[in-house]
Amino acid sequence: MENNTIKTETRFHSDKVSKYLLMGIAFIAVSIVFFIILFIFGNSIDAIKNIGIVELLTGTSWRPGREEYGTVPLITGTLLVTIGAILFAVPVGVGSAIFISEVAPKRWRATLKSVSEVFAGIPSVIYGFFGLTFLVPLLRDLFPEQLLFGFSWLAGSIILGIMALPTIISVSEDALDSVPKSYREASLAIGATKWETTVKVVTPAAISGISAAIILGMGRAIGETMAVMMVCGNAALMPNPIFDVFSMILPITATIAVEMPYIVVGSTHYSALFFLALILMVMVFFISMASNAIVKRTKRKFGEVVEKETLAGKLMSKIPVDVLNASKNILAILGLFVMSFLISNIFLNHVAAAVMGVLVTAAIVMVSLLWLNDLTKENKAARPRNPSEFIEVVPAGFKGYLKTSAVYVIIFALFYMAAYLLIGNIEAILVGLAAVGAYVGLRAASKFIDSRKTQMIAHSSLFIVMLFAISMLAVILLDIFRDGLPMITWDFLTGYPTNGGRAGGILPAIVGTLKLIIGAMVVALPLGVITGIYLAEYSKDNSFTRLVRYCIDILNGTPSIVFGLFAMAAFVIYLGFGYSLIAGCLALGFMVLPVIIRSTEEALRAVPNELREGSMAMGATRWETTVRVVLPAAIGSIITGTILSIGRTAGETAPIMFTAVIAYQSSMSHSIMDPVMALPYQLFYLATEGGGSPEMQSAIASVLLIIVLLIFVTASLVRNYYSKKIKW
Amino acid sequence: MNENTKILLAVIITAAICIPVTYLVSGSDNDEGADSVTLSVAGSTTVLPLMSVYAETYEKYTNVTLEVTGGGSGAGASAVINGTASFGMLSRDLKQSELDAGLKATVIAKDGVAVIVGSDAGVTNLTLEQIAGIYSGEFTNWNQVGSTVDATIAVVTREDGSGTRSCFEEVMEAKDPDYELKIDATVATSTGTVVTTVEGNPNAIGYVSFGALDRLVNATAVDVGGVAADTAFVVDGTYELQRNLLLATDGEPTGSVEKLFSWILGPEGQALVEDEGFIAVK
Repeated sequence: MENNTIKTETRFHSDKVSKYLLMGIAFIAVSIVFFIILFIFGNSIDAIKNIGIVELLTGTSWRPGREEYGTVPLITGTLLVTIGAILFAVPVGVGSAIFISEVAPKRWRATLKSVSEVFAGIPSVIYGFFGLTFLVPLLRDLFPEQLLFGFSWLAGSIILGIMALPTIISVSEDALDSVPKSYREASLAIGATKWETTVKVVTPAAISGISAAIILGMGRAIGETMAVMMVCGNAALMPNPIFDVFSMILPITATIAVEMPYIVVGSTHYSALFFLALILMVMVFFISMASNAIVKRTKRKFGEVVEKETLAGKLMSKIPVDVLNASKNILAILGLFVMSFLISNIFLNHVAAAVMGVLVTAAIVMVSLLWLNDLTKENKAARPRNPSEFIEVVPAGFKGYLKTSAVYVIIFALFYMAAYLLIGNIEAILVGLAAVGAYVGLRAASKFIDSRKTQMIAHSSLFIVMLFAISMLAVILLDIFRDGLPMITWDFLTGYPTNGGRAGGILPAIVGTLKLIIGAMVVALPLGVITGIYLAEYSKDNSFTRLVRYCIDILNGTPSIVFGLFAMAAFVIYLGFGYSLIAGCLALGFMVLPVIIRSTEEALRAVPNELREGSMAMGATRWETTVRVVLPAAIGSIITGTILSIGRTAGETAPIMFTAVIAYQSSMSHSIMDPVMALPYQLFYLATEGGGSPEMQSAIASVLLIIVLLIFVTASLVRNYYSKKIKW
Repeated sequence: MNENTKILLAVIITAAICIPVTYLVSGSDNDEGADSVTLSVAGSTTVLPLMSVYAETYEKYTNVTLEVTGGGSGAGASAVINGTASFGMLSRDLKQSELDAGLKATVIAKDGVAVIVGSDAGVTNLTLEQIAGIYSGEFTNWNQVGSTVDATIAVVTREDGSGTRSCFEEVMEAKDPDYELKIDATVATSTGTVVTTVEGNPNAIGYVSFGALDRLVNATAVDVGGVAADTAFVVDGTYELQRNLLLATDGEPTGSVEKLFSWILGPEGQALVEDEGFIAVK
């Protein structure tokens, strides 16, 4: 009897100890998260004080050499290149997702999904390399009149679009897949064809998830540094007219990367770059909030139990109806303004077009309000309070006209803008009208084609879209491997570089990459997993933990260049580490820390509560339950998340560019205070400098690709292994 | 499998992973010198190829390892001020603010800034006024500056922190006090990138150091004001676009850095300067 009592006391003692141990470690991780955010905010205060927030946010000239710090061209650059990427990636991505989910035979699904997931892992510097060596010259050859260099918004958007494709395909496909079967069966039962079901039932039902996919894709595009730096031309100007896709632009991320090397600590320029980082984080904040809100709405719609309460979700549900209506109205007005601005910008300069936009929007709003007043004179209570209700009130026939003319205007505008850039003003009008005519003709003709034929046409078009998506990614891989693989010999892999890094072997770069990965994992893995365990199993759900999760979410989406900037300021300069392996490992480690925390937490939350309850019911302490029951059940997802983080670490260039890597070393560095060479940076350096033969550049790209692809394939295999093992 | 076997297996696997990893992390053995010194160098991409050659050569008979990276002259100065590099490379003279911060310059070579044009430009000579006009946007077509080619000039410049750019703009501003770089010039972040860009665009114009001239394949260096881009004309002063290449330290150089600088200023170091296409100072 005595033995049992002592044992129990010890067990409960160690439970308490482990709880506080976990809390302590989680506290460290959370402090890091807060510290990074505060550091960036703190360092930008100087800029706000010296330059003034008005000048910063409304100035149209970014010339630090002349003390001009207007961020409008930079913010515009980021927004434009993102919008372009989305315009390119959404039709291709959502089309492919619909194909995978609705049209393709079931056996193809797994392969197609794995293929697109593997492509998600390709490092951005590889895309940049492909863009620089293949796409930019191609564009210049295709459009010699419009393009001086080939560097352009168009090139940037195409590359970013390709990069965002895997995200959009994967999340949209999940959304389409989660539409309940009953919806499809009901539609088919009343005689609709598969295609009609897809278009009119399934896709609208999944629209929330698809919106989330688009928003996540946007997040990816906003945060991209290396690829845009290599293909956009880095000229801080506003395209004129605003839709001139052939213009060079400079997004915020590229600005930071270009100017980071020569900033002096404490200068206004230094603080201005941190202000730019702050702007990026604010954008991430809004995107994160938007996607959280949408995901919550989807879950609620299909009756799933909402597992986690995010701060954004709570905010959205607590918002009084008035505020919700007001925001819908604001969005509608914004939309009107953007449309009229775009169209006026064709004929007027930016400022005049903005004025025109304001006038047109005001006119439309006033007319609508007056008409509304007239319509609901008797029944004030039934007055629509937001645009959706407004559309309900409009008489049915008129509603049809509104919709049709809106479609006509959009088609005309799109074709006009494209033709304007390619041909010229007068001809562009004709092209626009022709496009509208074609659309009208198609609509009329489609009435004569029966639904079976329509379905066949639609399905084949989607197949072509999917093929197009895959072939783009295949072209990238083939182009790199074709030039690079022949150069990969044993000597190349184990030799040292010569001629300043432009010839010879790449052993230091390979070893450096491995050291960075290992170091980053040492920093992030224990901290991240333990914090994830603490947050999932031990923490109470109060406003503090919600704030913590919120900050983790923000850092999760923060562009990697921000981590590079932070690490450079904090470790390289402030703590005096200099360019060093450890500064790079800290930058990379902090970058993946939120990812690991999140994925660990999600993995643990996915374990059903019954397992925990069963274990506790038998008398196990919390700690014992966590370690012996919950953790083993979640280990598969945790390992997958870890491996995916490793893949990201291997391929990232921006965080290591000004913290750990150098262009050339003739022998291996010994200590963690020495800089290293790394494959992604070596590729960037040689490709932009034109150093080393094109074959050598492709060879480095190939080696990097092979390493990253191996890591991601391993993650896939691990996930498959564990998903077969665990069945609840 | 019983418990003991599992433990044994775990130990073997852990050892199998840890031992190669430790080897990797500790670097190669033949560099373990008790007093081996590592110097980190950052800065001008003009000087970078020269410094890389120095690194390869100097390491052969000393215990000094040089870790070299670029970033531009501004980055070189910042690195020394911020304390992140042992010394910096610059392709321009130190600014007053940098001198105030305690930096000292050691001039190791002279260099010219060549103006290079793409293969279709059709000019072999440009005056400084014409160059200033091109870069400020006054001239936008090659046929406005003496070429028979009717094509828009594609202008390439360097980032703000570039020493090459400082030299270039100083001379431009001396010719035209109102000179201001046009807004749609593409920004290349190193000498090598300017070369790649101009090589890849037949209508482009850019400026690079003389040391990069041997990398040109299709692009050519124009005569500036009738003076060819040759080191002889830098020496006699008739080629106006010229500057010092220098190494910056925080205060006077000491210890290994001082020894390295003496070697660079000695016959062997200066011979390598000439090999790279620059002009020796001694």
